[in-house]
Amino acid sequence: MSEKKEIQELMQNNKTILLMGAPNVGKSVFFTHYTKVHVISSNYAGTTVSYMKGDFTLAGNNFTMIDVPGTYSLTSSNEAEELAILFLENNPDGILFVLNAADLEGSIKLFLEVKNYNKQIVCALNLCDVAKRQGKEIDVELLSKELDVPIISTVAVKQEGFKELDQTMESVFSKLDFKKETNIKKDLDIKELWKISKEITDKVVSYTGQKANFLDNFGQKLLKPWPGILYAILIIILSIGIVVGAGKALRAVLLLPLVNNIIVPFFETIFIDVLKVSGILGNVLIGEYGIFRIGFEWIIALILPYVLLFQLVFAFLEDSGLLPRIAILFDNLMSKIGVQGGSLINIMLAFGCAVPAIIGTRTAPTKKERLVVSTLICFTIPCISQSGALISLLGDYSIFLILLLMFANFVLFVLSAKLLSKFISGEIKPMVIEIPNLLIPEKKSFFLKFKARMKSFLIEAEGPMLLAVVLASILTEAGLLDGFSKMVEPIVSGWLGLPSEASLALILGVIRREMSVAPLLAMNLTALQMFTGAIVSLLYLPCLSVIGVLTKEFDLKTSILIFFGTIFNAIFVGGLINQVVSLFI
Amino acid sequence: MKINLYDTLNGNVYSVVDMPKENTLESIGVFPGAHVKVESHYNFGGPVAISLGSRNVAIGKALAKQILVKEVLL
Repeated sequence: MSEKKEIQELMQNNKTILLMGAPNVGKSVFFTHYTKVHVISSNYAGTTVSYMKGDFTLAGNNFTMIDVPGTYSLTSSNEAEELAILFLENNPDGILFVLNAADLEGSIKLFLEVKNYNKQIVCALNLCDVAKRQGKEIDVELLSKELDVPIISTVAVKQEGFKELDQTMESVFSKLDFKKETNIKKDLDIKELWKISKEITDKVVSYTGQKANFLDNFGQKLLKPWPGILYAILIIILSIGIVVGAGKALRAVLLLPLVNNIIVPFFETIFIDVLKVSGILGNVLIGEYGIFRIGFEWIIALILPYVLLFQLVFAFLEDSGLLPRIAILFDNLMSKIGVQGGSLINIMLAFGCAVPAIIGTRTAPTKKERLVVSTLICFTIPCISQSGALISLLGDYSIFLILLLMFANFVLFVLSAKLLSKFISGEIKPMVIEIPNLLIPEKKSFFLKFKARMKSFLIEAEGPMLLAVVLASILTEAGLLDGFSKMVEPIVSGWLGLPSEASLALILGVIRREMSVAPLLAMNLTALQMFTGAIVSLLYLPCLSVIGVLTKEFDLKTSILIFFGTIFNAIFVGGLINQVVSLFI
Repeated sequence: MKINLYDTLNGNVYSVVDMPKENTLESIGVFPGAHVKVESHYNFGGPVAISLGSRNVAIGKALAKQILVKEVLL
């Protein structure tokens, strides 16, 4: 595997500090603090499943910090743990270990496993605010003595304790004896480690008798099947409602008038009246499929409002710790269709974008689960850009069509999950999942995350989108589209019942998902045509970047199978719906 | 009396007697001899939520059925 070699080289050629700790203790916030590289953090286990690296200086020395994916142990029970072990075995120069003040026992146990590798360690005791809220007081000095390591208390999201941490890191890591070989005691007894951790925890933690607050009580309530399920369903409905409803309003009141009345007329004036561009160039710039027309129409008026609201709502769900709670409540349903509740987190993530969701499946305990969930995401989960376009397409006709599409999506999801888990060999293990504390999302990291995701949407969407727009205008201008349309007419018009120009959607949809919807908007379709088009788009292949990630995370064969599988599936199911419904109307 | 983790009562504390060799369980602190408090059961084949020290963990039904525990009288 090339990743292994890459890591070996990285570790050999740099002075490296590993950033380690259990999942969901806020490692990513420390990473951003030191390297200024922004990482997404959330309140559930396994937000960072691949490693990140960034350079920083300490007392004049250049270091590379490596954000190692969080693990509960070092027993190589999943790919994230294997990666963590690989880093430890390749002679890091030092380790910044993040302890969780709210779960001291668990983090001490992991610390002891890491300490076994005999490296220079500095500890940050993070989430001190949560521990305090739970009525726990920790004797940091005693803990430091027990673990034989410098420890600094921190509240990372508020940058509390960072100054002291900087100083400690400086004094410890600047006098490092670089690349000293050390001996590792193998085969630790996990039971023994847990015993020691409990003893130390009991010694250093005292309880202030603080009453559980509203959040803790609500968190516990969500864990009970009743009223937990009710709350979970309400949260989901509310989230969808906000994205669809507020998105529609934002679009109608602000963005659509902005594009139609201000931006596009502005460029029309410039190109047509002032610069007097005409002919092919004029059409490419500002014609029906012109860059300056649909570049704005599609991105700003069509998709942006939904992406914006989804990212706000989803970041809240992530940071609050609600996601794992929802996953648990639906574990029984998920097991019935052949997957387990834990994978629901990655599936929900895929409603944003499939790329991080597929990388996120690295925490899956079995190969089969990884493959089933990733394939399921590619076949049936629309990303938010695509959902936005679909909502725009169907919502202008009737909200009822949106609901019908959601229902169809659900049925297709269940069927696909059943089929995939049946035909992909291997086993799926029952769920074992940690339930994080409920938190009110911290403003600063919440908005940093929101900003980072919007920025990456604009950059990642804008580029390929413009490419697709240029491709569209060239295809139409050069008359190539007509040729292609004629070729696929039996499929597009005969089988799917769509106008033959809809073949443009099939071409552009290869580049980005929402592009398989956008061309349909201007076509004056009947309700059935709209719905068929929406189904085809929903099931159509995930965008090129997803195909790239699949090749990297699995292999070329898998991504080729998914590439053609999704195209076939989309046209087959879409056409089936068209043909069957046509019989009755 | 040994029973499986799924057949336990909410609110009681149990000590793990026997369980399948499973890294994911051990790494979150479920191992023979560990004390777990059962928080809640989910209906219709859902998981069992337990607490270990200050950690809350949910374990799927199929796995919970394979974990043998006995009640700890406090």
